[in-house]
Amino acid sequence: MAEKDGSTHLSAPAAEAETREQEQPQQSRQSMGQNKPYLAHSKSDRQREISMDPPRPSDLYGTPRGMLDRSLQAQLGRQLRAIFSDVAQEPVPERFIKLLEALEAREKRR
Amino acid sequence: MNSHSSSLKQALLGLIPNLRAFAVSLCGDIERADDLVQETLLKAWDHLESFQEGTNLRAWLFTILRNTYFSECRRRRREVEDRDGTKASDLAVHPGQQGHLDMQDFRRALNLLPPDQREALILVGAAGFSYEEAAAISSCAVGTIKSRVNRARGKLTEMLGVATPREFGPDSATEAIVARTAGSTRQS
Repeated sequence: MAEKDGSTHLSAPAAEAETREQEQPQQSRQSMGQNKPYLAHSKSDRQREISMDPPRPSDLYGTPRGMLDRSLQAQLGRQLRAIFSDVAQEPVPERFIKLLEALEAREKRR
Repeated sequence: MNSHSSSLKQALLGLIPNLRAFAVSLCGDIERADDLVQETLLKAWDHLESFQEGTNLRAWLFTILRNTYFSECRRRRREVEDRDGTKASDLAVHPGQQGHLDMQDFRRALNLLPPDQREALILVGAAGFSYEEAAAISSCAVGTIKSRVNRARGKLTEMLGVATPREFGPDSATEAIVARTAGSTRQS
C-alpha cells in the first residue's frame, strides 16, 4: 500500500524505474516505501484536501469566504434585528407612562 | 423647569420602546428587561444634570441601562467566564427540519453568548450604533467592540450548527455560486 502511494508522485523517468522495480522481489519494494515515508504521507494529505467532507463552521469563520460568509452573516443579522424590532414596535407599557407622570409631578411640586 | 421636565418626559417616552428592545435582547427575559428599563428611567431622571445637552440621549440611556445590567450580573455572580466556557455541543441548538433557523433557536443561542459579546452584537447589529458609539456606550476600545462582535458571530454560527448554506436554505443559484467558490478555494 505504502509503495503504491509513493508511485503517484514519481516523475516519468522515475515511473519507468518503478516498472522495472515491479519485477523485483516483494522485499525490496517494501523497503523502498519505508525509505520514503514522506511520499505516502503527502498522498494521504492530498486525499484529505480533495475529500468531500463539509467544512467545519470554525473554518468558515476563521477565513471569510465571500458569498458563503456573507449569506451566513445576513441570516444572523436578520434574526438579531427581528428580535430587537419585535419589542421596539410594541406600545409603551402603562407602567412607564405612569412612572414618568409621577416623576414629572414630583418635579413640579419642588 | 416645568417645560423642561415635560420635554424630557416626551423624549424619554419616545425612547422607551428602544430601551425595552435593548434590555430584552440583553437579558432574554421581558420581565427583567422592564425592571431594567424602569431603573434606567429613574436614574436618568435623577442624574439629568450629567447629561450633556445636544449629545445623544439614546446612547446615554443605553449606557445607563447596560451599566445597570452588568452591575446586576456581577451582583448575581454571573461570571462572564462561566458563559464563555459553555461548549457549543452542550447547547443542543439545532436548525429545524426544513433547514430553517428557527427564531427560538436563535434566541437561545443569543442568550448563551458571553454578555459582553452579546451586548456588542446587539448595539452594532440591531440597535444601529456605529462601532465608535458602541465603544463609548460599553466604555471600551473600538477594537474591543469589533473583536467582540466577530467572536459573537462566530459562536452563534457554531452553536446553531450552520455548517453549509443548504442548512438555512438559499436558492439554488446561491448554492451554485457557493459550490464554485468553495471549489476554487480548495484548489488554490
